[in-house]
Amino acid sequence: MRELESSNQLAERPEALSQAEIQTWIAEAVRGNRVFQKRIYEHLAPRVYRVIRKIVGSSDADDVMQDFMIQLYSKLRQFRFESSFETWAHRMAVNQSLQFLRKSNREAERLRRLAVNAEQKKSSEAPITSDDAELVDVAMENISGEQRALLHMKEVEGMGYLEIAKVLGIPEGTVGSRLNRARTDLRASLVRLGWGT
Amino acid sequence: MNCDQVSEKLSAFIDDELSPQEQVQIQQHVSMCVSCRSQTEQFVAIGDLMRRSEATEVALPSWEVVEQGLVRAAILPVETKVDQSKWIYAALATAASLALLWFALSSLRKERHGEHELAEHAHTNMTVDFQDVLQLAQTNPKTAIGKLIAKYDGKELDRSATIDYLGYEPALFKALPVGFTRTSTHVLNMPCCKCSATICQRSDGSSLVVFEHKEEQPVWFGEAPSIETQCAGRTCRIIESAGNLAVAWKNNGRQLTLIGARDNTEADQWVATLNL
Repeated sequence: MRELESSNQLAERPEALSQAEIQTWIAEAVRGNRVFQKRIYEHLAPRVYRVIRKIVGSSDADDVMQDFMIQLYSKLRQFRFESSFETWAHRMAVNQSLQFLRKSNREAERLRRLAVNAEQKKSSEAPITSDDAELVDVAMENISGEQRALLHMKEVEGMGYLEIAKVLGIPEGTVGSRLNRARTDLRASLVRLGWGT
Repeated sequence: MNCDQVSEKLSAFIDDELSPQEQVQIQQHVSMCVSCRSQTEQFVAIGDLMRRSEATEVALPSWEVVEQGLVRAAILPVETKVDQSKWIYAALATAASLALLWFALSSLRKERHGEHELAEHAHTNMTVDFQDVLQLAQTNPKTAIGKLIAKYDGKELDRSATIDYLGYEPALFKALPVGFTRTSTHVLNMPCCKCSATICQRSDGSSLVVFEHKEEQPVWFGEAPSIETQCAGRTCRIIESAGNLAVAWKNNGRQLTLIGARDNTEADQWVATLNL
C-alpha cells in the first residue's frame, strides 16, 4: 500500500518519559507538588485533549478534559508501569470520553439526528463546506463515538491494531472490520456533505 | 480473492496489518479491479483529510482552569497564592538568607581546613546575621537586604564596574529571557567569594533575583524539600516555597541560583538563556 500512502505527518505524540522521570513526577505530584502536577498536565494535555475533542465534540471537550484530570489524579497512585504513562493516560481519556457519551445519551441523539438527516437529504441539497476541519467535524457527528475514537487513533495518531485493541478493550482481530465500518460510514457522511464532488 | 473478500480486509490492507502474503494478494486484486481500487483510494483520502483537519491549532484549557476544577472536586487542596506586589521583598529576603547560608557553609569548610581565625570570625557573624535576617524577612525585607549589603560591603554597580569588581561578566549582562528586564545588580564581598545579586523584573512588575558566583560553593536551602531534575538539559535542584521556585544549577564553573521562578517553564527559560 506504499504507493497509496499519504505523505502527511502523523500527529505529534509527547515524547515518552523515562521510568525514572515519571516516577519522580508522579511521586512529587502525589505529594502535592503543584509544579509537577502542572508539568504532568502540560505533558499529556496536547494529545489527550485532541482525542477527547474528536470523540465528544468541541462543545463538551473542556468538561470531559476536566473529568479526565480528576480521574487521572485520583488514580495516579495506582499507576504500575505496566504500560507507558502516556498510553495509560490515553486509554483513560478515550474511555472517559466514551463513558461520557453513554451517560449523556449523546449516542441516542446522534441516531435520531442521523434519521432526520437521511430524511432531509431526500428533499434538499447537502450543505457543502470547504474547510477540512469543519467538514470532518460535521461528518464525524454522524458516526459513533467508538468509530471516532478508532479513526482518530489510526489515522491521526498512527497507532497499530494491537494498541488500539488494548485502549478500547476489544479483540485485536476485530479492529480491522470495525475500521472498515467506520471508514465506510464516515465516507458516506462526507459524501452527503459534498466531499469529493 | 474476490471483491467481497478484499473489501472485508481493506482496512487491514491499507494499514499494513496483514501477513506479507495477504498484502500481495490484495495488492494484485486492487491493481486490477477498478471498484476495489476506488474504494481503497477513498479510504486513504479519508485519512489524509483527517490529518489535514488536525493541523488546525486547538486551544487547550489552561492549567489554571483545570487546577481550579481539581480544587473544587477536592482532588487538590486550596493553595495560597503569593501577592506578587510583595514578592520582590520576599525574594530579596530569601536571597539574603541564601547568601548568608553560602557564607556559613563556606566558613564551615574553611574551619575543617584549619583556617581557624577566619572561620571563627565568620561563624560568629553567620550565627547572628542568619537569625536576624530570618526574623527580618517576616517583617521588613528591605532592611534585611540592606543589612546584607552593609555587612558584606555590598553596593549597586553598573555593568562595567561589576565586571571590574568580579573579574568576569555575570551571565545576566549577556542575555536575559524574553519578557524580563534587569532592574539592578549588586555585588557582595563575602568570605567565600565575590558574588553578584541581580534583581530582574517581569513585564507585570513582579520580580525575581538571580545570584551568581564563580566558586564551587554548594548552595543550601535549609530544610526545604528539594528535587534534582533537568531544566533545559541541565541538572538543576528545585525547591518549592510558597508557590514559587528556587532553582540552582552550575554552568561552566559558575553557580547560578534563581529565586522566585513561577513555574518549571520559567525555570527552563532562565536556564536555557543563561548559557555561559
